[in-house]
Amino acid sequence: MRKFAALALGLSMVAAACGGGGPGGGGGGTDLSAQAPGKDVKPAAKIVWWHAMTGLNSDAVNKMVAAYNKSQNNITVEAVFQGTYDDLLSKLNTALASNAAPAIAQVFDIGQRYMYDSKEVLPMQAFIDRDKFDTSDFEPAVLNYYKYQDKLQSMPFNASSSILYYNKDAFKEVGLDPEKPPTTFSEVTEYAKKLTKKDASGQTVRYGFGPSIYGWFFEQWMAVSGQLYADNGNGRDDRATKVVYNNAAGKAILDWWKAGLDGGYFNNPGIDNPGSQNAFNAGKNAMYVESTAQMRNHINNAKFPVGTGFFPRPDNKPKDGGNIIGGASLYIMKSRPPAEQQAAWEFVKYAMSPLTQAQWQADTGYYPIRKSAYNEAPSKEWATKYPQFLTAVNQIREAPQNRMTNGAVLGVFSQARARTQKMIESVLLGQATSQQALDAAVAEVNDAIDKYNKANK
Amino acid sequence: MRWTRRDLRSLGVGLVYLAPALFIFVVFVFIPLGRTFYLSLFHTRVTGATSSFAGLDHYIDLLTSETFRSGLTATGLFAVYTVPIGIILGLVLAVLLNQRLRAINVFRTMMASTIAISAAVGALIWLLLFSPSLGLLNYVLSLVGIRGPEWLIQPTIAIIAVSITTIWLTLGTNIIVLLAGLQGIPEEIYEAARLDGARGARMFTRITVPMVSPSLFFLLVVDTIAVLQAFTQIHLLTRGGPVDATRTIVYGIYLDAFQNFQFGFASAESVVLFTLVLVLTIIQFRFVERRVHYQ
Repeated sequence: MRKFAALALGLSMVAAACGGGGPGGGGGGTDLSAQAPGKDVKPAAKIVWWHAMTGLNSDAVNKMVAAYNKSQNNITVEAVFQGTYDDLLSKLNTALASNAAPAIAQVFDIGQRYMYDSKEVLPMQAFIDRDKFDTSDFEPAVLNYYKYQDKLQSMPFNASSSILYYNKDAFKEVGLDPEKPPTTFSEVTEYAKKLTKKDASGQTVRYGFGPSIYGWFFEQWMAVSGQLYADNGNGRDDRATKVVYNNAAGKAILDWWKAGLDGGYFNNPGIDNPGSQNAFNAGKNAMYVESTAQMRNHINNAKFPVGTGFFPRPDNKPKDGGNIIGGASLYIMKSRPPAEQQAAWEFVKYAMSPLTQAQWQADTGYYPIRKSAYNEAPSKEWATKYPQFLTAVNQIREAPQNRMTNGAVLGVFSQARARTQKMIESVLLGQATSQQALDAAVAEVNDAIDKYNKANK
Repeated sequence: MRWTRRDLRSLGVGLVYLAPALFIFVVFVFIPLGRTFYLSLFHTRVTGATSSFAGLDHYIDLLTSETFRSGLTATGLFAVYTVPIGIILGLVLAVLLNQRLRAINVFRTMMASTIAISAAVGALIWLLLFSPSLGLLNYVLSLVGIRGPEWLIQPTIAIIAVSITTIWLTLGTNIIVLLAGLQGIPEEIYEAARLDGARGARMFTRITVPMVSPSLFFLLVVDTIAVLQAFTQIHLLTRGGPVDATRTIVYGIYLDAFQNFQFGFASAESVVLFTLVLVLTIIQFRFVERRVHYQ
């Protein structure tokens, strides 16, 4: 038996080597199945999966893996926590150099181009084509986000979206309808003015709105404004050569934010996302924006009924505007033996099954990748328990699908995001006008893109 | 001088004794150092593999970049805020703890306890204290009618917040080193001075300070190097912000290497930092050490 396996492995390596000779990740239309190991390759007995999930979500990962290992006798998956998304990526880098990479790596949304350029990924599309794996009931927004030139490099795994959270008690207290969250910039400002509360000494005890300085929000606001973040169709038609957000829409976002802060009804919690989450739970900020992944946290820990609404948009509804999805996807690494890749694919299929997806939703608050998951019991239970959850899904489904709402793909995305945060800080602190700050950030990011594109042809 | 056979043999024996330490140094210090220098001359792909020769491009980019200059300023400010205050505070506390009192050991243990706290834990404690929305520190200040600053939001205050955290983290070590120094001063010297009519402040400046000067010098060198390499507290408190106010050179290296994946450029920064630390340490040894009194 073992001999046979070794033979099969050897044969498949030859097959994989031949397949790998073709053009990697080429244009639309071509079938990539030749890049996958042959169907008869026996899956490896054990594979490693690196993930970056913490807290409740980490427990959910372990639960999923345990269930998979119990469901069959051939493959054991070992889930290894590797710190934050950024940490995981640097460790993956090191591991690739010493041939210690895992079979599956969970990489965050904005690491897409980076993974593609590393040339270390066995495209998920290869398996999808080989097995004619059906993705027709996957959420189109999620699928579109992770497709590059119509091919999936990775399998979407945990999908989120940024939404507005608000304190229903505070709404009632100041005479606002607790079932009607604000939807536009002006409405947020107007509501925030009403929700801001001061004590006798003039200290603000509750702010109306308190978004943390997080580059992701700026990206989302560009998308809901119907604007591109980077050129070449947000880096999706071809490699992006520059970012383009120093326009009227970018300025409007910053000016709105700054005016709210100057007016004293927005709070600035800095870059500390957990800090702003806690501030919302403590009733210090009556509204704020965050990922859907915080839903459980707020419902469990806030001492007031939590409302959710769409991510605020500019006053005149831009016709091409909508939210971009967030989260992470699973990559199968090219340098692993075909038997491991085969096993990895088996697990990925399991992770994508409707029941697993429904359970994942119930355990974490990420929404399912495929629609059929909503028919499963855990998902139904969850939806009755937390109706707020539907906001995120509706928001994603209502977004028109185009290059703006597909979101940007950039090799230097972490850097661009950090630079955007510095840009927001400099405006909020009054060190630069919004236009100056936008131009400075764009110039610096473009310089980084140039360097990156030269080094990673 | 000519090497005799005996010299050679003792060199051989010496090397054998040193071998374990040398091995560790070579593997973990010298090879990475050489590799860093090598990488600094290349453009690198996202995986860290070299792609093309860059020559001195990275160094030129670095020395002309605004970010690097602001990084130098941040590092300088950080060192100035942290090192002298940390040492002076350590000396004052060490003198107090050097008194012969009942249960002084309890106080000594308490004051030196920060030595047992990791930088990560310490920084998280301070993050909770400084937190912009729910910070305990400003809450306590508000009870006595003071409106505290936005610790981590305002650039000029953020570097102070990071410095306070750093002083707190290093204080335990400083106290222990200085206390050991103080206890090494023979009682007779104080007695002789007392017979000559010396009193309080004079005793402190003329006897205590010169006698612990080796410890003070040691701390000056070690604390300066530690500050130039400080990472954890910046990572946890401010991530180099706001607007680069706490982006010290070390933190810039981290960002360029592990966020921006520009390993070549980050290596060049590391080489510059290495040179800077080396030069500073040489200066300290050449100029400050002259004033140190060794027994």
